[in-house]
Amino acid sequence: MLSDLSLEVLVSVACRRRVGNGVLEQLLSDERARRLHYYLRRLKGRVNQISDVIDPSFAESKPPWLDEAELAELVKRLYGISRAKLEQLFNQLVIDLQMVMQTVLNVDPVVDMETNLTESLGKVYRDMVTSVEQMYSCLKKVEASNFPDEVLDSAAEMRQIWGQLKLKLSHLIVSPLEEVLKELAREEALKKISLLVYSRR
Amino acid sequence: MSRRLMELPEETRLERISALRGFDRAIYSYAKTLAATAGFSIKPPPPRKTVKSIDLVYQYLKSVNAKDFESGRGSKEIAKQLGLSTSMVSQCLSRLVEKGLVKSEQRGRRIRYYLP
Repeated sequence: MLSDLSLEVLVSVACRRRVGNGVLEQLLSDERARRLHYYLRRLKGRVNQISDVIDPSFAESKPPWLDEAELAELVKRLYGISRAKLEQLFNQLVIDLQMVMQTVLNVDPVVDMETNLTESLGKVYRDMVTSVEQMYSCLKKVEASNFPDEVLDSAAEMRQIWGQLKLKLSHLIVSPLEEVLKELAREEALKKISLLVYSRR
Repeated sequence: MSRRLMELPEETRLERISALRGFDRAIYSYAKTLAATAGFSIKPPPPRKTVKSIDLVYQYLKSVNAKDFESGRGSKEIAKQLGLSTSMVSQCLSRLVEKGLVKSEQRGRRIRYYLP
């Protein structure tokens, strides 16, 4: 499988340049690493999906002039339409997170024992589940309230919680684990390069 | 399993850590970093300051000291000076007039805006 990659691609990985997911996957020899790579991609995709629903981009560059009541009505309708989708996405986000954690925790017990990995990840997980629950309650408030200021406050709170959660997911889970996988792929690429170079002699 | 490891002498544990390879070693370094960020309190980046067009228009009228019809400015002129579209400036001006922050006066076909 590794022989499919050209020397040029291998050098790109070794030099920590940006390479496609396909290349990385081919260089991850450990089954757990490949699985983690897949689940991280899924988690990232889910985060983008939720962002699109919670904070949709407007087609018009200039937002129309709306007063508080009109804006609240717009927000209520927006979240009313996408409520079912949002709930489904939140559920899937939690599942994706669980899958990532399961894979990460599938390591040599000495790692867990020396680093309290289960405890740390458990804390991250609880933190994130709490945020999701808070967003659920904000969504319900938006739907139930008829007062524009309450609707806008709850919507703003939900966006704020989502912003924090996104940041934590990125800083504590996605980015560091992606780096870990890239380094693993780099090691493999370096091995492969040396094999190629010495086999030519 | 963990308890059994705990019972291992320090030296043996260290040996096992140094013997970690590939995925296990990579996750070991990740877990160390994660544990170091004990509180998990990550500060979000400061929000980007955005200047609203309406503020720009108001500040412009203030900066040119537009106090009456003669020193006042038309919407086209303000748009040109600020690099905004005329319609945007007109919208901002009508809102400012509504709020009573800016006065408008028409003489013939010319409409000028100035501060009260």
